Amino acid sequence: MTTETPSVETIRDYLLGQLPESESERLDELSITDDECAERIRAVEHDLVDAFARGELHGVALDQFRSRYLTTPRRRQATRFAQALQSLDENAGSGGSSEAGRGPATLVGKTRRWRELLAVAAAVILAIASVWLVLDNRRLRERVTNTELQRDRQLREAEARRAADTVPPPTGREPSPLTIATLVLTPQLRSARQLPTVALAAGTGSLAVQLELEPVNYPAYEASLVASNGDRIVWRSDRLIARTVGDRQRIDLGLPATVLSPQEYLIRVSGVPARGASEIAGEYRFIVVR
Amino acid sequence: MTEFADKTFARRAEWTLSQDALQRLLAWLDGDANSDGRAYVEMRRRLSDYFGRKNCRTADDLADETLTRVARRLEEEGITRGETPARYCYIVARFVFLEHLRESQAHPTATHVSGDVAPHPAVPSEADAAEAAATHETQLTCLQKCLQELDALNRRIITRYYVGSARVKIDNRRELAESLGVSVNALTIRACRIRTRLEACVRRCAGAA
Repeated sequence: MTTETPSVETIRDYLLGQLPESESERLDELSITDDECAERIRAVEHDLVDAFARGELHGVALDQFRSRYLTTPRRRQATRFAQALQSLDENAGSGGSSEAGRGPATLVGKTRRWRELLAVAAAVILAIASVWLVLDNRRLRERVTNTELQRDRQLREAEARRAADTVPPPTGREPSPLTIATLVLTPQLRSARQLPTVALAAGTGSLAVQLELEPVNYPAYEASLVASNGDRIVWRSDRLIARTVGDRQRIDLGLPATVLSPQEYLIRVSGVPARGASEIAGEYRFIVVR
Repeated sequence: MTEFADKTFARRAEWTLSQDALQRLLAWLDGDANSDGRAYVEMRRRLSDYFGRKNCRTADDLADETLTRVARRLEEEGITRGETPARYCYIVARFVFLEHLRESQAHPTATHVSGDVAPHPAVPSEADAAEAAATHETQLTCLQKCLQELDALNRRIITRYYVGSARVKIDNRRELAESLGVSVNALTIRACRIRTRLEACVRRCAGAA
């Protein structure tokens, strides 16, 4: 039998149950009768499961994987294995040929030690972050190029000037209501364990957040802020337009400090297509401390 | 259940795979070469994967059922048609699947799942999360143990071939293939086989844990 080896895309569609029945049956047969095709399907399946384990599947592909692929215990088991395998990346470093002799013997030990040191590390990070934020606030504030934030700041400054004309001058120890803390968040890896932390000084007016987007492209975006305490939405953005920085896209948010309290937060970004319902385009977690 | 189905089940129950029948099946799957049972293991795996892709929860059992039927046919009637062993196995597997599907529809159980139904609730509970964390820890421990059982080269292949983001993988694989003096395709096949063994080892280990 002469066969044409199916492409990676076709095999992915096959595994995700997206092929027409006749084509799916052809691949069913090839998966058993054709050595090369059987190996290829296996290889694509491994890569597909690994991509899921690394959080590299998005949108429709992710939905299809969850609803059409993760349907049997065996496949869920394979996914758990893939998640463990991908942990080698974060635990064993970038790797290299010298790894061959070394191996991952200390993998789990590292994981446990890492967790034990987490509390100490978090305290150090918080201290550094606090100092860094204080020193860097002014410089970063000047870098915020988002027009919405600029307008917001200008309005606040105007309000402050008006207020200064009508109330006694501050003592100098009181924090300025114009203080803006800044946080830059990159796409969250599924395997990421250490969350970015921002320390909000008393009197901070707002938290400027720059979100680096996944490589997706929507005409507009919306963002919502979900507090881990009660898993409730505490803030929603208006319609947002991404700006291009280098080869990535970013959106800027101005979170009012009044909705932030010391806890973990999730920013959920939805892409708003030209037609149809919005789709989740990314999630970003961070921790607020005071 | 119909009379036909009754007879089918009765016939199935009557026949068991004897040592002779198994040897005949192994030889037939091997063709002219003696693979020491590797052809059987590979065919069973392909059949199991096939049933898995058909959303059968009992994929291994159905693979065994397919091979048992092939063995029975070999013993009782011989297989004289011009089909290759692999194609014949596929034909039998299709019937086993269709039969399984009919039985599942007639007697709904948890042995077959619809591909349109999400297997888990969208929002996992805290208990689910805790269980998942414990499972992940077990998997890591077993992975560590099983990786140590691999020789150094295979360990290097598995960690270089599969680990990393999509872009990193492409470069890693090309460099690894060059360093081993093999094509990327050959490397893929080898990595797949190592992974299969490793996954089976982790499954056994986690099951015993």
